[in-house]
Amino acid sequence: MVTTEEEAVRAVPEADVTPRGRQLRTATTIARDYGMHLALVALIVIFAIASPDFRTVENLLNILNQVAVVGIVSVGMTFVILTAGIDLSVGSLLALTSLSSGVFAATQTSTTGTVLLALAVPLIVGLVGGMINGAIVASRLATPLIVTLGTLTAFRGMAVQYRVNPIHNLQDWYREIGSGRTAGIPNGIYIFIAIILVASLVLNRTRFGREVYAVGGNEQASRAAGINVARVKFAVYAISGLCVAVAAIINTSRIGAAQAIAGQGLELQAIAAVVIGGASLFGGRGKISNTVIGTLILGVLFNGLVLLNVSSPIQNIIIGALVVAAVSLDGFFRRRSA
Amino acid sequence: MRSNRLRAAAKSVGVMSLAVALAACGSSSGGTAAGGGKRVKLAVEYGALSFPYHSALKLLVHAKAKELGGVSIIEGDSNNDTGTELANVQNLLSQNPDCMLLIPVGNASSAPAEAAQGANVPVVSFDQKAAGPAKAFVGYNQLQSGDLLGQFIVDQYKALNKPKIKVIYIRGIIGHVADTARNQGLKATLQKAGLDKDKVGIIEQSADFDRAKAESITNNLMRQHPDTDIIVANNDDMLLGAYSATQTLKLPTGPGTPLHLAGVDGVPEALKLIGEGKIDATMFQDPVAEANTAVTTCVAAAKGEAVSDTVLSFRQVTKADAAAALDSVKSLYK
Repeated sequence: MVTTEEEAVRAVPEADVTPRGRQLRTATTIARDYGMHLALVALIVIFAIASPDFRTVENLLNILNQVAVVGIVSVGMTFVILTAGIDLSVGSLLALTSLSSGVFAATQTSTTGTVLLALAVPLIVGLVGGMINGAIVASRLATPLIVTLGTLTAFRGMAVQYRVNPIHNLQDWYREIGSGRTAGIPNGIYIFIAIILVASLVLNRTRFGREVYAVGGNEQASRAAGINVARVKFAVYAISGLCVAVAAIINTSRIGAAQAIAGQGLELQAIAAVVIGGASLFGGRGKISNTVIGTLILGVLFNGLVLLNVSSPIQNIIIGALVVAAVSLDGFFRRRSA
Repeated sequence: MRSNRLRAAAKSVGVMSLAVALAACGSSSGGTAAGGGKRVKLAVEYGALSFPYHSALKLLVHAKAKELGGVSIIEGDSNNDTGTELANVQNLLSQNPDCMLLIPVGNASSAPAEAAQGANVPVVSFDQKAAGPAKAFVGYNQLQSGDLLGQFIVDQYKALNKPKIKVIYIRGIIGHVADTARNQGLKATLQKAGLDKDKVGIIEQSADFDRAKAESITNNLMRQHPDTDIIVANNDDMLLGAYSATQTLKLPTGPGTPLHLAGVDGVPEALKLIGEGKIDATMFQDPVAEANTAVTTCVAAAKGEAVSDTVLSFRQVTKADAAAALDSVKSLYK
């Protein structure tokens, strides 16, 4: 807060440092830094007034639980976008990791000994998938957009090749992960919060976190400062892959089936959440907490619009317009602060 | 500089002659296939082999071709994309097939069928009606599956004996051929039975044929409308997502409970749950009859015989015949 105010004062030309000019500038920075928070509060207020079914504790828990899958993928995506990268392969990787989890969780094939496999194998598959993306991006042979566009297609191909038909009949313990509750709160929420905390710690309190911001802010300067840029880039895609695997386990457990067609369009939802949270696609700017706000905005919108019985094409128009508005707003503030 | 240019020229001549040789090769082999009149080369273009139903049809097409003998198969997968569909069809046509089975991605683009006609290859549109010049259509009447879904609601309305019932209707991708037809069929049947919105209140949401989205929507709607009597979905996959949500909410479902479920397709997972009494019904489409008829029709068209449409009907499968239906398809969805 202090730094942003200082920045605002510095940006004001000498003659304009009147109390009034200062107030205006402060309002602009507040809008820039807290615009998405205000938008989320506004949405919640609007839906709470419009729909009595919206404003129940049960429904708010429901929203948190529903956004967990996209939210966890968005947390991973935030790391990637902070380095000015993009990961389009998350939806396909979700399908691949789902299948690698479901195959060990099915009642026909699994014994108690495979419990660990149903959780560990997808994490390994997700990590390896992310590492493949990271290795190619870090080698600078192709841009992140092209690399992950390629793996988007390839991972989906692998999933469909492996198995077209859904794996169902999942073990009861496995179903509990995504659809059970602990102390009255859906399990997906605990996992989501744990991922948020770990990711925030890594980004804000570790050297690696500072390097992620540095690489996204200015790659050349980072290299000059002795940061191993390739290693940082490799790592963020691996993190994204790992997050996808966690989301896949929750998703598979919740819908009770692992499917080769799962996660279609997930990449766009995750990127939308990160961007609505105010992160810059040019890298260097973004926060885990803001991504969570972005995810919640999308989740509240979906839930509220369904409860108000708004038809799906109209829902899509509203959500699409919101993404464009969020990015345009970012451009607007960037130009003003430049 | 000069030698470079020469080298480039030599290279292009080489490439061209290779292309000519390949083209000659292609047409000669095509000629013998058509001229011999014995072997039939069948081209099959699937809408999306990532759809379990299309994948089952593929298995059956191969089995039927083997059974008939003398039928070879070349095939492509449109990946649910009209652009890929047209490109695949062109590639298949360049291999001189004697007939083409086409599962169109949509019913709007006539380009694939026109391309086949241009190459003098008869087209049989398969599973869904393709636009453009096709010799015949083999598939299910999608409108009738909507009729059956509507009839399910009508029957439940009578059985429940309430002045007004509440229905959650989960639709697929708005604008998709099957979704449009099923929606029309359902609404027409309700109207014919005189069940207006004062008798059957429909809460309609689209889940884009996506199981996870159907789960979320049902989760949201069942909290808002806990007094819902029926959930119907435009395919089984979405109904299974809805069923998953009812399980999370710990709501009993199926015949004899306050919440009745019905879908369309007859995938093994749904048939199994129908057998267990957790889901009431599905409008079953049997891929076996469909694939067999499609192959025989296409082979007949390849031989220049007159062919006609085969429009198959969905049938409602309930607990009584779920086991038999499951037996007939479970080997296809492995």
